[in-house]
Amino acid sequence: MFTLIIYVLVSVGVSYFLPWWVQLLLSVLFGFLLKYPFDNHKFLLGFKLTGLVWLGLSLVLSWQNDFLLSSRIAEVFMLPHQSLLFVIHFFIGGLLGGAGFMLSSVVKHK
Amino acid sequence: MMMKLKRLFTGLFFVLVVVLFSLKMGPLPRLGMFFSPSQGYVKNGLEADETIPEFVRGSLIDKATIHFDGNGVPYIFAENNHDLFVLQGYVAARDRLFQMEVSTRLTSGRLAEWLGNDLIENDRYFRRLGLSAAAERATEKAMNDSVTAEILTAYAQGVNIYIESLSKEDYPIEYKLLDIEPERWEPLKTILVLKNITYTLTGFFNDLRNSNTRALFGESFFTDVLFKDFDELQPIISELGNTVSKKEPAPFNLKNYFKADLTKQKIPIEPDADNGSNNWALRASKTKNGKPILSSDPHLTMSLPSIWYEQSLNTPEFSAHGVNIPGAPCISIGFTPFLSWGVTNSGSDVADFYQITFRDSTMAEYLFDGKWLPTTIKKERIKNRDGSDSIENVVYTHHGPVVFNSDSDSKTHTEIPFGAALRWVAYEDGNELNALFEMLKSQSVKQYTKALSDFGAPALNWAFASSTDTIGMWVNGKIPKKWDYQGMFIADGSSSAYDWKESIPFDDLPHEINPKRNFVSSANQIPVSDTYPYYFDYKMAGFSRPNRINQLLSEKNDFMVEDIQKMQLDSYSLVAKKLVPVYLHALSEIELPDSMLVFKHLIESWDFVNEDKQIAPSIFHQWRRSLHKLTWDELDAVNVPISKPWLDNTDWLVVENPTSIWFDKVDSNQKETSLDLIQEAFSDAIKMLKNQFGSSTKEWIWAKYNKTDLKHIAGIPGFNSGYIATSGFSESINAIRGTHGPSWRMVVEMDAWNSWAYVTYPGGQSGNPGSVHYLDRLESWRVNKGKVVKLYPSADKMKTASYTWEF
Repeated sequence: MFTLIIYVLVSVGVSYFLPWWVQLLLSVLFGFLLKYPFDNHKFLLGFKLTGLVWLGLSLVLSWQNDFLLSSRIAEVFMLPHQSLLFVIHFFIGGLLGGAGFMLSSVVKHK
Repeated sequence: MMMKLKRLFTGLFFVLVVVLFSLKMGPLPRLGMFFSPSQGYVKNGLEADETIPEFVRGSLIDKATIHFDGNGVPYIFAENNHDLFVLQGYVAARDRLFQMEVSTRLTSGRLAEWLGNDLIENDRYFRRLGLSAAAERATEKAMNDSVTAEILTAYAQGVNIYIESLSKEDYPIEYKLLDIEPERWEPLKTILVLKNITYTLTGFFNDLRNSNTRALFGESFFTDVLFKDFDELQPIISELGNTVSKKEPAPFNLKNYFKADLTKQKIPIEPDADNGSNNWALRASKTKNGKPILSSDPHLTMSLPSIWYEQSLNTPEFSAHGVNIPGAPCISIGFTPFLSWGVTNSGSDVADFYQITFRDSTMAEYLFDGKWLPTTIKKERIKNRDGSDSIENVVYTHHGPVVFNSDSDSKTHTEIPFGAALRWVAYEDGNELNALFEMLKSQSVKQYTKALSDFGAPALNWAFASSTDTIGMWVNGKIPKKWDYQGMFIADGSSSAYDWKESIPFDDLPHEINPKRNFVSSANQIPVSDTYPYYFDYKMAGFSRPNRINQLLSEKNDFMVEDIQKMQLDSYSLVAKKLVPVYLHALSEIELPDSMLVFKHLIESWDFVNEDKQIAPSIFHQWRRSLHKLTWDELDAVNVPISKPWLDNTDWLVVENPTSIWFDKVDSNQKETSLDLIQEAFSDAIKMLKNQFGSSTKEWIWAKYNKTDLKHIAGIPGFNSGYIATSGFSESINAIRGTHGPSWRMVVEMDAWNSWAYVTYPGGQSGNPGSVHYLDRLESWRVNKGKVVKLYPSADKMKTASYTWEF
């Protein structure tokens, strides 16, 4: 549990300051450190946690801009509603975390 | 086995995620980067711009200050020209980098390597048009002059300081979306921006259309239809000085002018008939405060980011407030303590095609005055985004480039005749930058007009007003002396009789200073009456807008700045006033069904104002268009590019020649007159409106018909303005026609250092769609309640800054 909290906190910092692929490396690294029993659910775990980090950060940053830009970007991607844009944030962050956790999990369990 | 499969699957999945997020796929940006909170678009929403860019200091010679007002407009105070232009370049790049790059890449034919292979035809066109080659020559000349070299170098330096300060996450949003990188700015690029203005304002290539029209319909079509205008049209210059003709005798007339081959080229996009602008100036005696007033509203396609960038430029030598095109130093339209000025397009024909007789298919030699002269061939290498490239061989004669040889040269721009060379003022090495700089420094009308004489292209109508109560209008630019109709059609490139010789001398160009009526005005109408000593080729705007301006300005002698502001919004239509009685008379001859009477009544009670909430203007304009279409049914079958009559020409026929043969319909056995067509057009118009807007007439209001929606320059859908309810139309002073219209509105009261102005424009300072300054001027523009701007002799005198950078 403690590792997961650390993972989320470090992810917030990494995703806020560093390029997106650093988040991917971070999730691989933490995937190794995790002593979580449900190996089969590691993907979902990484997906949810990292997705939430990306969702949260994008929401805060967009809120600072009164959602001015995000509403325009939603139109650029022809999304029927702006909230779908944040679903994309969640999904992309999620895939980074999920893929990383899953990779380390299969490498670890020989 | 299971584990192996699982590992293989996981590994593949991992690689897939990496690939999916790091590559640019189709129109999508690189997803990982674009949606990343650290590098993606969300970063562009943060207003980090206000922090002082300390790194600029190292490039400045002396101390400098920039105050930004509440709209993000920079007021730059520098101790010398170098520092001023470094800072002007820096702030322009900070706010408008993408727009600046698009402009230079478009003009130099370098868009495909940046944005993708589908822009290749566009690049080929601009390469073959030769603006890049012309800009290179002009840059070389400008860099040999110490004053312009300093301006160009300092401005480029400022832009580059900004570009170099960017890491990927700081790139403007368009760069992230389109996955492109900014490129170093060079003096050449500023010259390209200036060439782009000349292209926009003078690049109408009508010669092929005119030649075809003459071949098909004869000379009389010009004299009886296309040249016709209402007698009441008032030319720009109200008092012509010298009227003794200085025209060269014409070696050819409309009948024996060179006849080019009637080429089978596709129907091109029609030129924009309603491009135009207004400017006027009043002497002190016409104003309540006893101070001269100048008004300027240039009409252009109103795109986003806004065409204009507003700024205040100050050194110990000068102080000026106004706008310029981002990428160009100085100020194009604005005011100083001494002078204010605004421009409209003169519309004179400064682009002529010459049919070339080549000796053989190598195009190495061409015939000229009985001799074979050598051509030169310039190779243009066009790069694609995918890394491939292609070569365009452009043949140059002494006239200019042979833009297209055959339809393999371009699938677009069918107004360009094949095998003809183009002579165009855009190819000349102008001194425009120096002219703009000298205007900033001018302290007298004499100095100002001297500066003006350096401004060659594009030819513009310059209205100006001084604090010392001198007003003037100068139709200025490099305008070749021509004999009657010279250059109207494709000319014979093998005969020197058709060549341009010298230009009309500056002092002979149409102008007036302090005319008796105590005001000057222009609205793209013909500059002079027939008694002007030179031939002036022109076709741009009808009587409605200029006459309305003159009518309102003549009405009183106690104008306030606010009256002029209101006048810029005047949406009255003199065209409607003239046509509606004629239209209604035609309707009175027939029995209308009750369902149609209601629309007739709307027109009967209309006050001729193209007002946003009214339905009558929609009915009238659709009626006028339907009538135009019915009248020119003869042209539907024509399958080559021709000069089609304008709405103005049809208006003239309807009023002055109602039994003209052109009203007789091709596919009927009876003989129709204008009356028959007006009646038919009325029901056509109502049908059209119903089809387009539905049967509820509430939806027919003028604002919805004349739909204004500002579009982003790269056509990115979410970056447009959305629908804006506007009044006006091209024949009104408030010439908003769809997305085309007043791109800057300024009213200045001239009073030395107390001079001030109301200014506004459609959009905002910032090119960033995530900035509050992207569209923050839009509403003030729509209702023309511009903000007050003043001049400041020094930085400490300006107390109202929103934030300040001190270097």
